[in-house]
Amino acid sequence: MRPGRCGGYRMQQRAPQKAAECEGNVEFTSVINGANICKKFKNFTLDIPEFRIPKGFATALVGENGAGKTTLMNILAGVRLDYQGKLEYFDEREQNVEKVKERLGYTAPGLYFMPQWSIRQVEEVCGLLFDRFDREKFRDICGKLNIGDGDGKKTVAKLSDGNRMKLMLASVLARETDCLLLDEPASPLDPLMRDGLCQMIREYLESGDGERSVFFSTHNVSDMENVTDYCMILERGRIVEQGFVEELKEKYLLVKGEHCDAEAAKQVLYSFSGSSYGFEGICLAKDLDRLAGMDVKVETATLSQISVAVMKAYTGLQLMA
Amino acid sequence: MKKTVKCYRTFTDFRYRLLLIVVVPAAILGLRAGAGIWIGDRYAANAALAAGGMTEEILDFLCCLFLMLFDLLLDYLAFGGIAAKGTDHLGCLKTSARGIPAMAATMRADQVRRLVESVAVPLLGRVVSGTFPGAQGIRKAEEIGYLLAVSVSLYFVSTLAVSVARYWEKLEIGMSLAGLLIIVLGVFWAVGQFWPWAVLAAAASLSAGASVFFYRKMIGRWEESFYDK
Repeated sequence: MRPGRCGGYRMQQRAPQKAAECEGNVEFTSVINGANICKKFKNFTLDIPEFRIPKGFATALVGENGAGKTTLMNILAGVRLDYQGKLEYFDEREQNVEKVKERLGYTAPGLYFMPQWSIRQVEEVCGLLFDRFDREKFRDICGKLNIGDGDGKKTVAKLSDGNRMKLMLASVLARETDCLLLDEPASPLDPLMRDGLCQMIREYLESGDGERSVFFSTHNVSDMENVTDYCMILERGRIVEQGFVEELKEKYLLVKGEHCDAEAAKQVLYSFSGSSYGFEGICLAKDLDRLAGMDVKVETATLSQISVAVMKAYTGLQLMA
Repeated sequence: MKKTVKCYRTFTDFRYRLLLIVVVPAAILGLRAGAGIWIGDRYAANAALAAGGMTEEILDFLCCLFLMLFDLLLDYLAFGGIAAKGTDHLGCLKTSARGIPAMAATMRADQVRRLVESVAVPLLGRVVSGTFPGAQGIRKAEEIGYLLAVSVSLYFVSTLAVSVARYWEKLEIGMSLAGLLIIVLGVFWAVGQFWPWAVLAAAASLSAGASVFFYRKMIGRWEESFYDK
């Protein structure tokens, strides 16, 4: 495994015993295993025959609006029970719901706490509901994230969307958990706080010594890329691509070229974007030879570029020309 | 019992408990005592007023009315919209296996608090105004029957009011409902003066039924929220 961008290097550092190379595919132990997860909606079906979240890593679930990300997160968190299939948590034979929920930390967008609760009351509620909730740590995190006025009296209703998300993050990070399930944690946050979120995720994983995992859904792939180790791309209820970030970056390459080669390159590229000055697109590594003879520049694609290319290939969305 | 009290204290604000358990009942009893003294003076001064004979009963009704309205208002501040459809205020409760049972224990404790207050405050109102059955030659048995009928009717109407109001997030809907339920309370109060034991029996049955029905309905609503319809 060659050191690549931050994710690959961190993968080597954090859990070398857990990942062993096998013919270019990295094997890993899972924190959550799923089989034949299926939930029918009016317009589409969430259908995932095999689902594994790697243990000790930060996994991003990427997909367009309505792809099924929140539904999948709700199913994993045990907040949605009407689905078919099987889920196993923490590799345990006996799945005790109370123990599993104690070890999971889940945040969701929207109203998660009663709007009339004060921050102090949120602390009390979390202390009642979870055994391993640290009140001092909660207050410390609230102070660092500047939530409320410091006295805990501000109600949830008076907090902005961003501060509500920070409050949710504080409530889960103040607990001793083994897996965080974060549904769109970056969406309501400002750019500075998004960077702070990445830092919090890194610290959470590093403090677990390979035993803690994070699974988050996001639209802001570029903001979360520097903390993402593994990526799943969900499109219309199906996982259409997944892998460690370094593997994906070896599989999908960014190609740029001149306008005169655009037509020929378009036949080869996985995704294509052209203008009168030139073209760029994502090319599968195995198809790179087909660009021989063209004046092209090959670069490492970002996870954001790879995600968009893959989503474009599977989407039913009619994008305006 | 300890766990239930702990849940109740966690899910209700200290100000809610202070207002509902101490301040509002004390204010109502204080006003009742003050009204009793004023009426006593007026009784002495005005034979026509004394001949009316309905004054204590009207004060009983007003006492129940204010208690019901404050209960509804303060319940909104603590639990407003908790059973409303399409909201997910219980998101954090659903992520814990203890969440829904803890909230259910809180609801039960709140019902017990409501029952105790509904019975105690009207009865204590008569004590502080010096017109408790047996005092000043007031006929004991029928008056006690009437007071219990009014108290249990108050519990029934308050239970109905807060239980239905919790299905909406807007206070205006709950208060509009209260306006209608004042009529129901008035009917119980009026009929209870003539047939107190019959009204007591009816109110007790309706109270028991309403308490169980709305409690189970709310738990059912929360359990349904784990599923799409």
